[in-house]
Amino acid sequence: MKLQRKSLRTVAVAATASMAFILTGCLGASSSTDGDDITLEYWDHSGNADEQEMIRQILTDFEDSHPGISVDFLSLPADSALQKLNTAISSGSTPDVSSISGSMLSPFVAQDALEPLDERLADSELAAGLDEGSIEAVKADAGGSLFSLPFTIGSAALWYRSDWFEDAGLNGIQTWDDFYSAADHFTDSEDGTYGFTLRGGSGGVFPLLQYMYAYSGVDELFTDDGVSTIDDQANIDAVERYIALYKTATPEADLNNGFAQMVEQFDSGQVAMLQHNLGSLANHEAALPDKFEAAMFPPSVDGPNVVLSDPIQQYVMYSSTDHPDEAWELIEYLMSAGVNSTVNELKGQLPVNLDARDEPWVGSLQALSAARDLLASPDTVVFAPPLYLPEYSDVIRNDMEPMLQQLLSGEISANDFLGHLADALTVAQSAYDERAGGN
Amino acid sequence: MSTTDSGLSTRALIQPRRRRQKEEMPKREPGFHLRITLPLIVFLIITLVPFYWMILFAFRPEGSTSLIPIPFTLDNFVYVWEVLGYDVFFKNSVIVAVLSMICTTVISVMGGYALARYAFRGRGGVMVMLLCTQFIPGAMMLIPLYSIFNTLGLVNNLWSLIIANVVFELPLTVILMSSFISKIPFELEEAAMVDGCSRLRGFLLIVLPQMRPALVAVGSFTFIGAWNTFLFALMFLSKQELFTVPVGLGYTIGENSVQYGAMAAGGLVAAVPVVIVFAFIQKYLVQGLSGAIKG
Repeated sequence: MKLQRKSLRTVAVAATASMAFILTGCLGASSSTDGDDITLEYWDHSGNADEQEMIRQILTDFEDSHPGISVDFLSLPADSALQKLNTAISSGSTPDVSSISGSMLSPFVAQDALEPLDERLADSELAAGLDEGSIEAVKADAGGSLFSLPFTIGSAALWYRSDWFEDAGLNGIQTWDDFYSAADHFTDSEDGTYGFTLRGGSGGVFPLLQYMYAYSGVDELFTDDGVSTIDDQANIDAVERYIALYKTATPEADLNNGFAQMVEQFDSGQVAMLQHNLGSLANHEAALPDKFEAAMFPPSVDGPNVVLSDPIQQYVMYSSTDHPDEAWELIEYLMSAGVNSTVNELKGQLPVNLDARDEPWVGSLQALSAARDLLASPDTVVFAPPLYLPEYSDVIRNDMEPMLQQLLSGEISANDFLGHLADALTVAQSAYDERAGGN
Repeated sequence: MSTTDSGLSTRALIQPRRRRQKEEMPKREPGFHLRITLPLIVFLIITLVPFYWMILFAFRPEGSTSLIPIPFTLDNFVYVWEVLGYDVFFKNSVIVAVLSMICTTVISVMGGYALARYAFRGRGGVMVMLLCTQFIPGAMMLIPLYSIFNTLGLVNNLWSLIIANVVFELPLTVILMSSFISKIPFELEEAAMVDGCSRLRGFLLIVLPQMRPALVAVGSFTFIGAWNTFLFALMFLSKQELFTVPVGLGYTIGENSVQYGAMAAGGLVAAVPVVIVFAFIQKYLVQGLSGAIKG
């Protein structure tokens, strides 16, 4: 018995010692030894598995060209990046630099999480080489100051089956009437093919707004009095014409369509046209090589090209960084022509660095060269969604997405739909102006 | 009656072989199939169709619309294992799940025994407090837990996950163990102590073997809970080489596209250990959860 008690005690002591040993770091990540070297943390918000290797190579090249600086890279899954970053901000554990999507900028600025970049950009060689419109758009989202640098531009496009159009003797989509007649022409519900596909499910409101402003030609979101233009009669007419396509030129199941279903419908040959941004270029290239093209939105019925821009992806530096100068060097490197070109070539989107836009690969991609030409045109009016309004995302997601399905089902009118959104944004803008005036 | 040399009666030798009678199926009342069988079939189909969808997408090539996985391919598994880094995520998940299971089981047995056998002041309050902790969602504790782990130097360490899993699983498992142990007669331990066993030895030799169903139930649920932990893994870890399978699954959803084949393959990789665990322990589960004891 004594021997057994002793062996039990020995086992207990050994187990406790083992736990302590393991607890102190056997299951942890290796920490970098610094010395005089600086280690930066860079987080990527997009979580694209195919881009991780490219980003690692870019960061390795940065380390090689910047001795004494190493970069720890973390790719965050796209659908949980915001949650991770918000938790990091709340707990004071943010990285030095990260990429973010456009909808993240305003809440991060409101939490004082980001380092201002106005002076750094003004003193940088980059200043003259970046797309001014994108810089102004992100400044507007952040209340007038620069807290981020945009690095890629996605543009809404009308993807269409160029092979079908050629067989039908159609010359692309030059006007909105071309679009609607093509939608009607290619619809054969008995055969299961349709002219168009609508996004009635998650994320469907913003594409509708992009189409609406492009069709109507209304070129501002708010009047000078701060009243939303969303329920302008021209916009109501645009939406009424658009939703008339549902079930007449689109599948009935579009009521619940997200972007994945829409893209799948187009890539599988079920529909002739798709409205989606440049981000789906790679999907179409894989599924329909040489069988599709992209048309930018035609000029509005009033004449000008109006573009409600997609949320812009940006690089930010966090105010909690211990190495702001080195973090800025990393951002400058990422925004340089060569790197910005590499990143966007893989994404299939338009670079913000103007020298990168002149690269041959941009001109070789029909969709990108069309987007580049549209944005460069003096007749194009570009404005951004009001991401600076804290209520915007909530209203769109929680109010308008369910109402969009009611609109498509015919339960409410376009007037009611747009009126609700316009009222909500007008109130939000008024509150924003009051806060800004109070500060 | 005559007997043979072996002593068997002739009658015994010439008795005709009795035919085994068919067991008669119990007669079902009219409408039984309509009320019971049909809904069960519908429920089974609803349960199995998503699983079949996952198998279908995992084993057929990208872009295929076939309703059966032909042509058959393992490309999606190769992709998630080699490109997405599932080999690392899987290893981390196994470590976290196994250690969480062991720690939770050991501590809950000790705590359950204390609650079941010892009458101490505040025992009822302890039970109530344990139950009350179940009302607090884990997401609310993220920031304070992160601060604690940061102070302890456990951020970017799998132990932060293990400790968090153990802490959140313990209240229910302690109560479960306590309930199970209280049904085991104390007289058995008394008899062992009369024979010279210490309390601990009596517990190990007498009580513990009878707790197998409860141990299996607690261990399996803890394993599965720890295996599926997503939020803690995402928030307490900021190194990709430490992420677990649920976080890794998120990499199949990009900003502008979803890799359905890779997602399905990753989902199967995540589901298979859980299915295997359930397959081996299912007979213990009901016993463990109902607190029944053998014999």
